[in-house]
Amino acid sequence: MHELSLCEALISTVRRQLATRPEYAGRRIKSLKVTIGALSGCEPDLLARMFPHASPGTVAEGAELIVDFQSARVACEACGTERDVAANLLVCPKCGDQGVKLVAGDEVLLTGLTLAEA
Amino acid sequence: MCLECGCGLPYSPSARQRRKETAAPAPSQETILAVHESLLGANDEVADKNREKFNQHGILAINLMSSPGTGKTFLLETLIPLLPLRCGVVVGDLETDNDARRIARTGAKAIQITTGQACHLDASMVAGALSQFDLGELDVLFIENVGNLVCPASFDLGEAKRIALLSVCEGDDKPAKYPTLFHKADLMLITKADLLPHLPQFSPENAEGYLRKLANHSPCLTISSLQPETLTPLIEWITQTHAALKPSHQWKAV
Repeated sequence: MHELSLCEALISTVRRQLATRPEYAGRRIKSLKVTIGALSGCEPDLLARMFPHASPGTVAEGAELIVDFQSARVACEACGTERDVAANLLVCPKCGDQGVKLVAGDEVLLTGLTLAEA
Repeated sequence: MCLECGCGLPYSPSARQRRKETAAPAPSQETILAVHESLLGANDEVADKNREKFNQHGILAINLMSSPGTGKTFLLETLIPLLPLRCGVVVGDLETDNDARRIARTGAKAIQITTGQACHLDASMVAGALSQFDLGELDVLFIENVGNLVCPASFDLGEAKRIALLSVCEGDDKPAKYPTLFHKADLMLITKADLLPHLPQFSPENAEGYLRKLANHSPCLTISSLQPETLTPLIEWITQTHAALKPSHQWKAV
């Protein structure tokens, strides 16, 4: 259960992103979008439930958290198939080969910020 | 129900039209920024610094991850005296320094990180512990993570290799239940094999089969810390992995 520390990491990531865009200084954040991968070790529901407890008093206070789920996605090096697969069945869904590359699903990403009107 | 024609739809066509109008986005000055940044970015930066330090000193850093009670500490107590390499250990636990004291008896330096309520080690905790080692005196650093099959998997500590342990007292389908941890393992150890005759429900072949379904080709070794001869393949794996690190290290020093 490390979703609270991930919430804190989310808020510092937002702070870092805003620091690189001084033209938006002082704008309230309306919503945040994160993508959570099936193999990221982060539970989307828990993150959403923790966020209202972690955000007050921070740059993300009052912001809505929008969570997108990303399935595990593999690309097969043998037959070229690229497809979403179950998190515990990562071999190629077509030819069964183990030579696959995990192309998505192992990350927790901040993917978007919506700033309220100035 | 639709009040216009009684068709059973939740809204009459005209009501639906009105809803559409009100739902249309009002023109606003909102700004949408597209970002693509990992929430673990801050941890990963520290992990990269740890990794750089390990590489500079030719240290093989190994992250040991498992549920509580698979015998990580006992394995280190048995393994370290058998390894022809200078070892150090960082141990993470919620409370007590019992494990560090046990390992220190082998002669290896052991630093305990007491995480309190934190369920995993992160890169900065390891960075803090590293400052207490003389890195020039080490060949291998074992990082014994907090016993937990969920959280430790998400945090890069700067290690070169990850070992996932699974004891025969657990279900042999653990790799299927906790794929996040097992799919990234560079070695899977099935521990407490001396108990296998009493646990017919555990099949090492099944456990390995579940690991292969995660498209993980890493070796899988069945060991018992009570039978030190079963550790021979593990000792070989560690010494060979360490030797494979060395050349680039020496090349830089020349």
